[in-house]
Amino acid sequence: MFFLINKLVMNFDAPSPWGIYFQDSATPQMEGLNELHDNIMYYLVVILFAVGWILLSIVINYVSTKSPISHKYLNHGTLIELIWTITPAVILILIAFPSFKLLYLMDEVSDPSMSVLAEGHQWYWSYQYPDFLDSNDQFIEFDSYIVPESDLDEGGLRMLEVDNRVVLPELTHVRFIITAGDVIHSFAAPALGIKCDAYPGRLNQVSVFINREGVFYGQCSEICGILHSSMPIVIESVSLEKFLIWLKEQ
Amino acid sequence: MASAAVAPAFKPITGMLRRGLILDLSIGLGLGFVFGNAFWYGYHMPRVNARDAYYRKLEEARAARQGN
Repeated sequence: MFFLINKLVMNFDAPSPWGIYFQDSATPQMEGLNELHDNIMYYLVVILFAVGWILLSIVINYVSTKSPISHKYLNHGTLIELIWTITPAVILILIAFPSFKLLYLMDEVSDPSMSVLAEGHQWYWSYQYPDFLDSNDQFIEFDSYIVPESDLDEGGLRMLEVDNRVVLPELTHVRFIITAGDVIHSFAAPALGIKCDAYPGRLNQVSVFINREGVFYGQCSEICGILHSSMPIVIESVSLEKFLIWLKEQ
Repeated sequence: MASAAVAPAFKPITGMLRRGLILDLSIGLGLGFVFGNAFWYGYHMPRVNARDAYYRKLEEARAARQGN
């Protein structure tokens, strides 16, 4: 069964049909999220079966036809009520500690080597590389629009491909500065473990350190209007040499 | 007129709830740990091992490219 689940779940850097698990992680943040999820899932499975079994047992043993007067003796129990109130509270606290630890770790922006400004618009993203100048001595900047289905190349992902990808070097601390030009959007790339709201007039930031080369797909994750589903995000991680070549071409 | 306490004809049935609860908790938690471990060792660990093997291979390829 697990083999089947492994085959069915998403194993790419983009969503896959009927995918029920995370995409393969490409940043330390996403590794942490995966680990936290699986740790919590272990305890959830234990709780699910314990509660499920006891529920089943109660339904079977205390059905009115089998125990016609069970209500007479089983209508109050201080000890058991204390147990089933305190135990979940303790479990929630145990889950909260690693969760907060990861949350604050992810919030750290550790000395970025470069920054990328991502600005959400109805309905496209525009990007600026404020650390680099193009041949006209202007900051490198471009808009990134969805590629419509009719223009997709063979193998292209429907509703996910864009005309201009964000190109980033692997193994480099990159800071995304995220904002919006009109309404609230959200910049998200699941394989990189980033999701950050983009507000007009406000700068948010997230840090990424991409472990490997790849093309990572994301979508706007805040309902922003009628074409909310048509402003995908594509981040291409390349080696430093390839990144320098790309920079030179701008 | 006070009546004397009459001894029951048979021993009262007590402790059933506690015994049932201990049995049910044991079975429930036992099943939970079995399936939890199945998830952990059948799904989580293979994924972690595959990921580690991938990054190990990637590191070797990087090292080979740099001539180390």
